[in-house]
Amino acid sequence: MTDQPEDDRMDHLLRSLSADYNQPPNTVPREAMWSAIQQARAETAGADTQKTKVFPLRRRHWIPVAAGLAATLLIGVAIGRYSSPSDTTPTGTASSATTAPAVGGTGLGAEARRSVDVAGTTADRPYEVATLQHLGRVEALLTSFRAEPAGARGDEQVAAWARELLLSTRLLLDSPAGSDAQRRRLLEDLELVLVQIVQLTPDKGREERSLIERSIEKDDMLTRLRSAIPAGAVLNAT
Amino acid sequence: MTGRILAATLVAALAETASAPGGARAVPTAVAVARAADGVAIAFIASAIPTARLPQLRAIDDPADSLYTLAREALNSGRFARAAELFARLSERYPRSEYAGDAYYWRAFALYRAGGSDDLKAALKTLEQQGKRFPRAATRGDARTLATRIQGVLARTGDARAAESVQEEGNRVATSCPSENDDDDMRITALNALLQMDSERAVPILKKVLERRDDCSKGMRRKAVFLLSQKNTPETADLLLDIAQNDPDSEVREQAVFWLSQVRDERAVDMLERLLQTSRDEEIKDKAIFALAEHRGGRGHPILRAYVERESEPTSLREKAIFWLGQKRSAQNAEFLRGFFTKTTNEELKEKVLFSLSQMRGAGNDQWLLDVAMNAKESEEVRKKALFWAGQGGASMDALISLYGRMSGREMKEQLIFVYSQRKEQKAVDKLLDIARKDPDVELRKKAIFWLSQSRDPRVAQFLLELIEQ
Repeated sequence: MTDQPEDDRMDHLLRSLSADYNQPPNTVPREAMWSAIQQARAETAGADTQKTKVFPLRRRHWIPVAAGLAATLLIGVAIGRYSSPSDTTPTGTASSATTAPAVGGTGLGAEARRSVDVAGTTADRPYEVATLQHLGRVEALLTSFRAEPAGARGDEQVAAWARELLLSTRLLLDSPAGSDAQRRRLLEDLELVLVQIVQLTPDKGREERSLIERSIEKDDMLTRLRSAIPAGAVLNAT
Repeated sequence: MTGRILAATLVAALAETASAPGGARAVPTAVAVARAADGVAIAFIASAIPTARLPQLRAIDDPADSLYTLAREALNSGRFARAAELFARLSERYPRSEYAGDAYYWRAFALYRAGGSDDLKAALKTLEQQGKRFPRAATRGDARTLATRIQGVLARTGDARAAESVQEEGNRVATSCPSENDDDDMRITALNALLQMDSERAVPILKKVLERRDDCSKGMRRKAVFLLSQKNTPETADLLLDIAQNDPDSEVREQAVFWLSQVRDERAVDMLERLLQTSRDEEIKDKAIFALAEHRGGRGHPILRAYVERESEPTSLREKAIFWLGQKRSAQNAEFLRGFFTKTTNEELKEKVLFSLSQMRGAGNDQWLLDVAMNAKESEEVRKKALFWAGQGGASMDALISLYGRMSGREMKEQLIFVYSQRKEQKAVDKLLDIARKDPDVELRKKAIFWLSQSRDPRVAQFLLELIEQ
């Protein structure tokens, strides 16, 4: 009841503010706008041409490197980058141990508080560390898969990388890391995506790719992966 | 010239597609291609074709296309029985389709994921059929790995034939090297299947693999260490200790050191301590720090505490030791870290101590963090981090509020405002409102208003309204 006048005042305020918001000038400089747009488009086209020449070369360099990193899977390497609290640890938080707070950085506190479901006992922690690293690498693969334009070389490299991750996913599924129901579900979903990327070959066309992309999107795979990995944890691994 | 001819061919093809059902959208593309052909490289044309066009082009070539897409989408939706059914239908109806061979593999995969005993058996049978009818299918290599995995699952549920197969496969892979057409996947899968089925029998085979020193078994050894780590026996401890010292591959050694954390044997602690003291390999030391932190005996943490104090060691590794010390609530660790904080001048290590103590909570750590925040002898950065971690840890809101009046310097007050903004208590909003209304420093009031505007507290809306109306 008492809120009503306040609501009215707020509505009035918003209406008066919105009346001025983004109001166009009296005369529209169409010619100047059009030439600016043309110039911007020309620059973008130039950049795109350059990208098609340079980008694949760069990709060829980094994909094997990333695949090489993936080959070190199941090694506990990201030690010190995040916490993995358990019954024996005092907090329910997981954060990048090296993340420094920055005043004014919105959401940093929330980021630092992102919690990780960690299996309860110290005995499980090495599996937890291995799993988190693995998830980080799968996230890297899926991100690059979606960013990488379809193409013979790129698809082959991504497929080889996915093969390594698929094997590790299955080993984790059968290990103590697979005993947590939620984590298991995620690993199983990843298995399904990875097994499809493994089969990706240049001759299979773009439809094959879009099937996989749809699968990644439909299952919110990247969101689920990112929420399972503490901020800044795994990809900063050595 | 060649570019124009190719482009013209493509235009014709696209125009033809446009007349096909569902192909109307090809016309604009064809027009674009025609324009592009006028002096533009053919490479550009290829990139100009919308992705969505290609399935329709493929559909003309292969009548099984839509069924295949449907089946794959069922698979991706987790409707495994439906997917298996659709893939089977595809193989039956379109045996000459380019999808027919791979459809067997996907059907088997769907059945494997369906997971019932009958499904698993049907999956194996499907893979056998694929081997006979489509021995050159692209998925054939992975089909063998999948078959081994399915055998392993069946063996675990008491299928004697599958168990026999797993055992034979395990024996076979332990001593051989992958051929040119082979890879480690199937071999590791076989070892894993054996381990999950019968660890008593698997460990001797894993031992054989891990005793190898040839280059071709490197990949297998790396994974075998992980498999071995799942079986905690005196024998596996001996093996891990041996590998950690003697395997020629550094990655295999690193893995062994990492998994020594699981070994309940004081010899493991001795070795890890020795590695920390003598190894020049930072990766190995990294793993040793983790393993010592996780070791269940009582000696790991004192060794790490001593390591933290060794100034000759890399800061990054000492930071990691501090981090892991903070992951276990321990009065001794807390006392050590606080003492170390006062001794060291290394700001990075100091910051890591602040974080670790905030993780431990209790035992006076929260108050200690607040004391650091108020200590003018410390650098502003360190003090800000102490505040932040106190706020993230267990410091009470009352304690944090009481700091504001005593805190000198705008930077520190801004940090405190930020810390309040990260707390969920009503008191935090009250304090921010108080600052926003009354603080004599306009900049601090602005900060408080900024953070208040991120809040959903109804009092904040009222306050902002009042502010607008002033």
